[in-house]
Amino acid sequence: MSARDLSSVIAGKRLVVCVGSGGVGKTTTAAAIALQAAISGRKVLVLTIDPARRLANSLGLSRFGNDELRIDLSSLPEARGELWAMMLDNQKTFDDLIKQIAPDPARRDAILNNRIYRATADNISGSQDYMATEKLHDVVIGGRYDLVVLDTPPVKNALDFLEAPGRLARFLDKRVMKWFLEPYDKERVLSRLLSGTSAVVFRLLSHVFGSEFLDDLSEYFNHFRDLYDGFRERQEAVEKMFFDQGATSFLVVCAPNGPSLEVAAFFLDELAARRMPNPGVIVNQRHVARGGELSADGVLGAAAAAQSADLDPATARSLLARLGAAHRRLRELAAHEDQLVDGVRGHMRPGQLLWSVPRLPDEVHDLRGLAAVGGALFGAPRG
Amino acid sequence: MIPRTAPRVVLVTGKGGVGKTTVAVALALRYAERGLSTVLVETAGAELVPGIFGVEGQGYTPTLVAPGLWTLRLTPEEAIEDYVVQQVRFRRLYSMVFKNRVMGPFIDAVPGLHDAVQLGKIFDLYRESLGGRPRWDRIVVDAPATGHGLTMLGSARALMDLTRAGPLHDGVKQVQDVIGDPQRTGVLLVTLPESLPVNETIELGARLGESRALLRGVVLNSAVSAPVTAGELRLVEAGLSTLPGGEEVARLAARRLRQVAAQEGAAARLQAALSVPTVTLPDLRWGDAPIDRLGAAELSNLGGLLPLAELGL
Repeated sequence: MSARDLSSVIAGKRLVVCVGSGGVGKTTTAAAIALQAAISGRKVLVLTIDPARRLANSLGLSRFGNDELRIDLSSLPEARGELWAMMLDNQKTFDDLIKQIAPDPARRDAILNNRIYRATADNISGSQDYMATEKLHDVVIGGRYDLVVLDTPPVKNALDFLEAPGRLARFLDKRVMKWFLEPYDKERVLSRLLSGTSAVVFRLLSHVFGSEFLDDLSEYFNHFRDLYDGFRERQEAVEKMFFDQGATSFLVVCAPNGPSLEVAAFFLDELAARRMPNPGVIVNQRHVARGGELSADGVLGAAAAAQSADLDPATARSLLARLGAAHRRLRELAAHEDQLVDGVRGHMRPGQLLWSVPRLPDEVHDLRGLAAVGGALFGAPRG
Repeated sequence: MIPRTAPRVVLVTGKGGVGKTTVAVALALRYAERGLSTVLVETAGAELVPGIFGVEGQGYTPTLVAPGLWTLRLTPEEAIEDYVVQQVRFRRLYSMVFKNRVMGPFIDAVPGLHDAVQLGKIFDLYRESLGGRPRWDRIVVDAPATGHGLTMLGSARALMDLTRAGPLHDGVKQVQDVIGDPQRTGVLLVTLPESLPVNETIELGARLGESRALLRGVVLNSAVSAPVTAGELRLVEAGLSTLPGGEEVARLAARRLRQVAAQEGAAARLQAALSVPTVTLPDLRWGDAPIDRLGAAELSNLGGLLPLAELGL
């Protein structure tokens, strides 16, 4: 094996994060990487934030949930390690976390029943990113696995995800909390708010949001008062992990079309700007055209040969022309994709690699299929 | 079924990478070509539309990109600013208070607000009038990908429940009255004609809840076609095998025939499960269009294939 193929890039890593736009085979790629590592003898967890249907399907399961589930690899006798899978259930992870860190049952129940908490855990866009951070802390830093492969949500969310640790910190920033939390009882909050510099801010906020809603919000923030340090500690540990060249690899996954490659270029630039470890790009779903154009003479000859099959030469020629045109289009598309992919190379840094994986004829429904994807991925031409 | 009028707001959503934007643009072009004053709204900061029309960027106010068709790009930040300035009437006050580092994170943390203010902007477009009649006959929204798209669709209702009373509550209620009304708002789901994406769409249909009534149809996008029928392929197979490269050509045709059969099966399952019209659109990469450019002309042709009457759009 060359020193620069995908398996060597992943060897020894503890965290691999797949990022990219939707519909490019990111989930399947993550699962195939995890399976390959498990086959080679490691204990691996694949974790998806995206709705998990795709992952469950590719593992031959109907569904699975927020708990780590061991995948039966007995159908792959060559497998020497263990493969585990889980989907991130936002609400449940959030609830579990509150249960774990709340100082007492009364505080725990107050938070779990707070209406804003329910809506936040459920609905706030981006809250799954905080939860992913929490779960990553649990499974990566917890040390139960040799390798964790993370499948991130499609583009905009995934970017949020990169920013989540920082955003969580801002959200829970002591200055913000303080504004709502000190002093703790409502009357004093109001009296403080209604005087001095805060007064204008508060009046503006009540004008926009209504004072009742503001009361609910300050109660909600108040609940988190003591939980702040725990959040922050774990967030910093995960953030440190993201930047650890020896332990972590981000892989940009894309398909050979304009919008997806634009997103890939964006990720390459972003990851480089943030100095996050990124060995390169996987381009899935490449069209591959084999064989050249049918020659006109050849077509005539074949048409003549077809006469024995009760086909007149004119009809045969027309059929062959349609078949030839379809194949020509495939070759044009393959060449066009080469050009598009070349555009992404301009965003790569020295030492980064690009792996091309051919479009697979069948959807993946079981571990055998997934292992085949792994074969295509780890045997993919690079450069 | 009660005959329904065509809604003025159409939200196009689906999983990432299935051609949501393609379908939204095709639909918007179709409306504009029918003489309807149409605005196409890109949400969540997406910016694919300017490339299609060859224009330089687009902003928060509508830009004319084709006869009868305007586009605008919606970002949560601009929508929040717009909403707050409408409420307090002073942009400077907004900047002073909302852009400082204490209030910024607070605004980020209000559950559902980002999504609801984007719906609010769509509502503003709905309400906008010109010379005594609605400014926009059709508002086509290229909504975020499904998970987030559904959250956005439900965000006005969620924020109503949270606020219970007050100015924000009254504001989002007005929005919900339009966005939640099947006479005024329709949803078009886009998916791929393959078995996993269709399964996901069927599951999604079951999770739509209150929004189920808004669903007008499902588009199966990027369908391939076969260059010949199976019978025709059999007739020339023997001849092809004698040609250099002929076997590859035959293999491609056989693969297409298998794909076409799988597509038809997936479409039938979808139709049976969701009982709304399903529409199959071709993969433009396999047509005659220039391969390096997917422009307005190709998308207009695609829009021509949408059976608007059947979809009630």
